[in-house]
Order: sequence, then C-alpha cells, then structure tokens
Amino acid sequence: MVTTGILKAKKIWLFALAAVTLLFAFNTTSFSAAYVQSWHLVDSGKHLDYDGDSIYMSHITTGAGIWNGYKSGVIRPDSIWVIEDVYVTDIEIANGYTGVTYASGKIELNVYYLSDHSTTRRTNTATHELGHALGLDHSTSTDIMGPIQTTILTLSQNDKDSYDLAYSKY
Amino acid sequence: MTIVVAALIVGAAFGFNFFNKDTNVKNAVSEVENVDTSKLPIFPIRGSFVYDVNNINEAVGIVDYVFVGKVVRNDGTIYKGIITMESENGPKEVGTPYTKYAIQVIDNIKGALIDTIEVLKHGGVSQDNKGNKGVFIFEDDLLPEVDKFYIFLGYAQKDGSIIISGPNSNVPLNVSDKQSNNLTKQSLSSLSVYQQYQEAFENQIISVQRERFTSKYEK
Ligand SMILES: [Zn+2]
Repeated sequence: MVTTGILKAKKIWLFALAAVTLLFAFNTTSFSAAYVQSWHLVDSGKHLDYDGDSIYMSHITTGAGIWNGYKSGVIRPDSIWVIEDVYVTDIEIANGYTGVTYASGKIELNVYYLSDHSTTRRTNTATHELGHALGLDHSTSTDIMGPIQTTILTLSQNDKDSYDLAYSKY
Repeated sequence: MTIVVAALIVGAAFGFNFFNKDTNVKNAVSEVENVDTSKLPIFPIRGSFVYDVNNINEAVGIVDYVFVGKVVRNDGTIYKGIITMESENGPKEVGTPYTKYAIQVIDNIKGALIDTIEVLKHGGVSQDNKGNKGVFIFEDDLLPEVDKFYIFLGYAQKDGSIIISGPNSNVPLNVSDKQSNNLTKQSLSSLSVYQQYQEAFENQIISVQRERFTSKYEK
C-alpha cells in the first residue's frame, strides 16, 4: 500500500514535471520566431540610407533610432556621398493603410489617417515601415511588426529575432 | 585655373544632386498598356493597417462600397506619386502602380453604384525599368482577371474615383457559365461567400472614424 502510494505520488510528480517542461518548450517556440520577407532595401554595405520629403521625417528618425538601438549604425540619413536606399514620401488616400513599403524603394506614409493620430501611433507606423525596408515581414500583434498599427515603440523578441535573420541575408 | 576647375567639379556634383532632389515630383501619372503579368515575379507590398484585417465585419465597415462585379476590361497600369531616386545605374523613377479596370456592377451589398464603373486596384506591374520588372501585390490579395466575378470592397476617394486595396479586397465568386448569364440577388444568395458578406454588412463594425467621400459612380 505504502509503496503504491509513493509510486503514485512519483507518477504525479513526473507528470507535473513533464507538463511544466512542455509548457516551457511551447512558450519558447511560440514567443520567439523570425519573420522575413522575400525582399529588403538594405544595400551591399549593409546600410539602409534614407531620404524623403514626408512631413513625418522626424518620426522616421525616431524609428531609425529604435532599430539602431538593437543593431547600431545600420539605418542612416542619406548624405551626398551615398545613394539613397529608401525614399519616404506622403500620400493621402482612403485605403486602410497608415503606411506602405514597396520593393522598389519607396515608403508611403498616409496623411489621410496619420494626421489624426498621436505621435506614438505615427512613430509606430514609421518604425514598422522601416522594418519592412529592413526585410522583416508581419509577425504577431504584440510586435512592432504586427500587421495592425499599435502604440508599441519597443522591439519585441520576435522583432529582434526577425531582424537577426533578415540581417544574416544582407 | 585649378581653382576654377575644382569649383566647376564641386558645382557640378552639388548641382546634379540638387537637380535630382528637385525632380522628386509628386502625384505625376504615367500609363502603360495591359501587360501579361503571369510570367512576372511577385514582389509583395507591405504596410501597416488601420483596422483589424482579420475581422470581416471591420473590413466591410471601413470601406464605402461592397458589390458583386464582373471584370469587363483591364485598361493597364497607372503610376501615382512618382519620385526620382538615385540608383547605382543612375536616376530611376519610382511610382506606385494602380491597375485600371472596367467593372459591370451586378449587385450592391453596401452603397449604391451604377451599372458600369471604373476602379483602380492598388497594385500591378512595377514601374521600375532599371531593376527587375515584377508584380506588386498586397498579402492575401490578387489582381482581378477579365471575365471573372468578384465581391469588391472599395473606397471612394476625394477626386470621385474608387480604389480597391488590401487583403481580400476582391474575393473570387465561383459562378458557373450557366449562372453567369442571369445573376440576380436571389441566385447570388445561394453562394456562401455572398451570404458571408451580406451578413458582415448587416453586422458591420466601423472601427475607424474618417472623413468619407462620394464617388462619381453612385446612383
Ligand atoms: Zn506591415
């Protein structure tokens, strides 16, 4: 009787341990993944040199700082010595997007929605579009690279992992 | 002499640069004919949404028109917001492609459009003729094909035009040849996709407050 009791307790303990281990394993895989696109705008010198005439250029500068905080010196303002890799301009169009990035090298920031938005939301969109220019694809809703605009201004583990994988392809 | 030459070189360099910045022309439009897109590589367009794209009630709520239409004609690609960028091969023009379509409106689910309209589909053949030509298209989106039927989700613009843009903005309708000759609200009601959008309209969620416009194609 006593032996069986101990065995039972052992079994329960092992089961619990297995469950906890599984939970952690699940967490590790679900909370960290890399999402990259088929294209990026980074040049052969591993820089993304930006220029533009958008009224939100200061938000782009802040966004560049957010990415550069993780990998310094990758995103730079364009100078006369280098070729621009991405050009940031404004559009005013009803289309459901606060910003759009094209493989041809253009970021469009949509004044139609952004004009009513807070600085935080505008900066989220500017940072998100720079992420596409870096080659990152859409990930989950708690990331800067989540598909829908948020107030997030800090890189998540997904954002960092995606950037690491994108960077390895430059 | 040396100083003059140096000044000329510096001037030319700055002048050239200035000239390029100055040609960052906005809202210019150029057009190309209908191109066969089937053999071109696809370059996905990416953006940041202002609404929850996974919620069909929000997708219907944010647009101005939801309608069943047959694609009559593809009228080629126009390029908006053309800028000039310096590239390794010299200056290149970068515009945003919109594909022009003539559509026969068969049924209005949201809004009331006249029978024959023109729409601009956000996406199409890229303008960049220095690099690789390709097709620009959003995620979960496709370019409509002539003679096929779709449920279109459209936005009226300030200038009276209609833009079709984003994920599931033209949803294919499987209509048989026999059905296609006589599509009515009643026959459409038997299609599950149609029912889905009809119900989404009845339960639409307007999550984004915005200034709405009226297209020139309203009844
Ligand atoms: Zn995006």
